[in-house]
Amino acid sequence: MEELLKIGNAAPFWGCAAISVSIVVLLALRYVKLGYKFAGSVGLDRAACNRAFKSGMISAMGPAIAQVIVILAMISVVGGPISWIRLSMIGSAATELTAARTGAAACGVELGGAGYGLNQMAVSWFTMSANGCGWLLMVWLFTHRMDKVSDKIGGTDTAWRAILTATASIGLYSHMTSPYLVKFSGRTVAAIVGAVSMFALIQIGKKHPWIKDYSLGFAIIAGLIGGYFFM
Amino acid sequence: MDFRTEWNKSVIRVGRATMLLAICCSFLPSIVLSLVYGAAPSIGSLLAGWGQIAAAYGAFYVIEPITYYTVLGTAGSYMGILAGSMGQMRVPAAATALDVTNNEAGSDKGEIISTMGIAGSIVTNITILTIFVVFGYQILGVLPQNVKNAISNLILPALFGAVLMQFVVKKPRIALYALPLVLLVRKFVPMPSWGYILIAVFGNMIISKFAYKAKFIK
Repeated sequence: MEELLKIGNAAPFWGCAAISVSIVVLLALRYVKLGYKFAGSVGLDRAACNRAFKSGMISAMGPAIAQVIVILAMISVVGGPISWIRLSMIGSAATELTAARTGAAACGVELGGAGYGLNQMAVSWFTMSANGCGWLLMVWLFTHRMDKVSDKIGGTDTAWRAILTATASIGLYSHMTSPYLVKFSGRTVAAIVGAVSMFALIQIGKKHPWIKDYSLGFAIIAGLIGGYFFM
Repeated sequence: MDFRTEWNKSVIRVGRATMLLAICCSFLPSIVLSLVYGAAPSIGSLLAGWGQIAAAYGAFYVIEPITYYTVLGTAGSYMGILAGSMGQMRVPAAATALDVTNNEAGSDKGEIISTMGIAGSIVTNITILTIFVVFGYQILGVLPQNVKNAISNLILPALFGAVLMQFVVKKPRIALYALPLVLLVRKFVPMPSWGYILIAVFGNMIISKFAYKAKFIK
């Protein structure tokens, strides 16, 4: 395993990883440029665009830290470069480790266990990549056609379209919160305290707009502290 | 041409080209591993690995892009799927950006604003990730174990609860049926996890359709 990790952490793979990570950043920057270009035509000024970009940056801080907290577990089995690629594209650590394990299992061995050699590692890596490409391929195939589908469902009634979006958002986050709500644990408390703090912060934000940028961060911290006492 | 047509055209051109590029580059490490280090896995095991993982996640390949499209829009979908963590980072970033600038989701201005917000979240995400990939051992080494446990167990529930509330305050009446439906199904109906997403999003859309016609929501 030591030997394998040495290969996994070798310079050429850092190079490959840098390319993949750059693709993600470049796409974001290309869209920012497009946003600036089109802003004028819908009556947005540059300042509003910058505000939006900044608030997006701030809102991701908490969740981004949550994502990397498990990164050591991943680095210790697949190495730094692969972890860097996989977590910057699509995957969560849990999904990627499942894929790595599935690849090893396809060779009849355990990830990092006896018999896990170069060829088995190659299957692990391939399985992670192929899995990620499933999502990319679907988006490549279908996303550009989706606005016609949503025009069909939503029609031209803007009030109804707003309700559709709101329903999807509320439904989606009800779904993601539901596992914590149906069974009591520290996570239940974290979810409820997070929600209640958010409600309070939104009310405060009406009088003190500066707080809107930080609401999500404050709510997460409140939820963390609340849940900690019930862990 | 109007804004939507022009915007979508540019967004799609960039987005699709990037998806293809990302697909090709995904396999670079595997290619290097074979060419430089002489790895020669059997085709059979590669196909077995691929088949098994696609069986486990295949449903999500289709369902996630569709369900998130309604929330993220076209540019948001390309960025969201490529960078991942849509529920954890992309949707909250878009929602916060819209709130801060007082714009509505789905409007023309909102489309650009949420694109900006999502792009901002990617910059933070990649920066923090890169720092931790390089210095992870040093940074995480100083954190006590119970703090690490608290963070990894509790951030997501706190985040999801907070984001749910962000959406609920805008249209509270939808939550009156959406949340109970999701909880009841989750509690009493066993099914694969992608089934729960479908019911949460599309099941609720059907109820919303009736609620809208009955003028219960507007």
